[in-house]
Amino acid sequence: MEQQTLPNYWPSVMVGALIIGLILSVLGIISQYMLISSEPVGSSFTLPQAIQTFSCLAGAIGGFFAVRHYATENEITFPIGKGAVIGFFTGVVGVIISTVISLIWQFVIDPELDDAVYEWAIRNLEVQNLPQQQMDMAMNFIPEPGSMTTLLWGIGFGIVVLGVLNLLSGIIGAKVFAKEEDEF
Amino acid sequence: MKSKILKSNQQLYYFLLVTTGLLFVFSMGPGLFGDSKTMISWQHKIFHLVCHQDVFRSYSINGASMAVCARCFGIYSALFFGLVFAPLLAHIRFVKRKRMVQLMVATIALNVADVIANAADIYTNTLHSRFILGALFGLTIMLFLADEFFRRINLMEKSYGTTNIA
Repeated sequence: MEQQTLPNYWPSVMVGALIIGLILSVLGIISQYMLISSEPVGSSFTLPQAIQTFSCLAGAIGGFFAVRHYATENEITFPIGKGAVIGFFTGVVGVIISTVISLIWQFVIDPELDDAVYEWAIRNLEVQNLPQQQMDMAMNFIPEPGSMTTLLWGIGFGIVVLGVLNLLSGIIGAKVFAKEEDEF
Repeated sequence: MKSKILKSNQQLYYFLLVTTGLLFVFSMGPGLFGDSKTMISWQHKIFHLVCHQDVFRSYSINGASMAVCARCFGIYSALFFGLVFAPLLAHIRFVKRKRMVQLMVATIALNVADVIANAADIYTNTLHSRFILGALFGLTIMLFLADEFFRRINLMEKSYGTTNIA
């Protein structure tokens, strides 16, 4: 019996990953410039931070788009499990792409940016006039510029959280675009 | 004709149940584990990418702010409890799939409208209202997906026991 090979889903994963990688890195970099050009007022929640959070949440739809691409390009239906796999890989690759772009920006294009963000965060804490003990605790939360540990934790947590969120959006995408029976 | 639950979808269900359960527990922040440090826990670091974690917009446990805001906590709670009750939700088919997608989009729009209206000082939302709107979004996702995890596929009776369904 002739066995039919299933279409490769990696091109679709790459499409979804590029979308979220660009969203995460471009909006992330823009928000950092907005942050350092603003005056620290001691607020724990600022507009640039809101943009950064939004960009990360927008990064969760990569799985949905990757699955849509896979289903429509190949004109096939498949179980939601496959959508989950495509979504998860999209999240993982998206985080890696975003990290690479951010590292290129950080080390090649504008090496001063990370230091400027770090200094801004410290000035923002100083404005709050916190007791020394709380100040020290809060300082531990601010990532040090160029720290390898911070980078690795960031990638690790990013892969876990965005991997799971994209897995979910991949399942939703599979149910919307790749369902076998037509119930509409 | 016999029918069988798709095995791979059930495995995915158990995987998601554990994953969303962990996200739900971690989202409650350090206070759940008796730690009162507000902003430097590993739980906060996990969700740092996807939530603004503003202490004024988050619930607290044992004096420590949760690792996510009230809206996100609503989403994670609804995803987890939606999955816990998915075997029951799977039998609730009060709207068609197309309507369910529209409902999901509507809850996203509702959350966006709530954020904008609050930012524009049209009204002031509260921790509870943000939690409820977030939970509505999470719940519609689970209502949309629940039947998939317990989906049955038809088999020819003569092939029963011989077909490997993965």
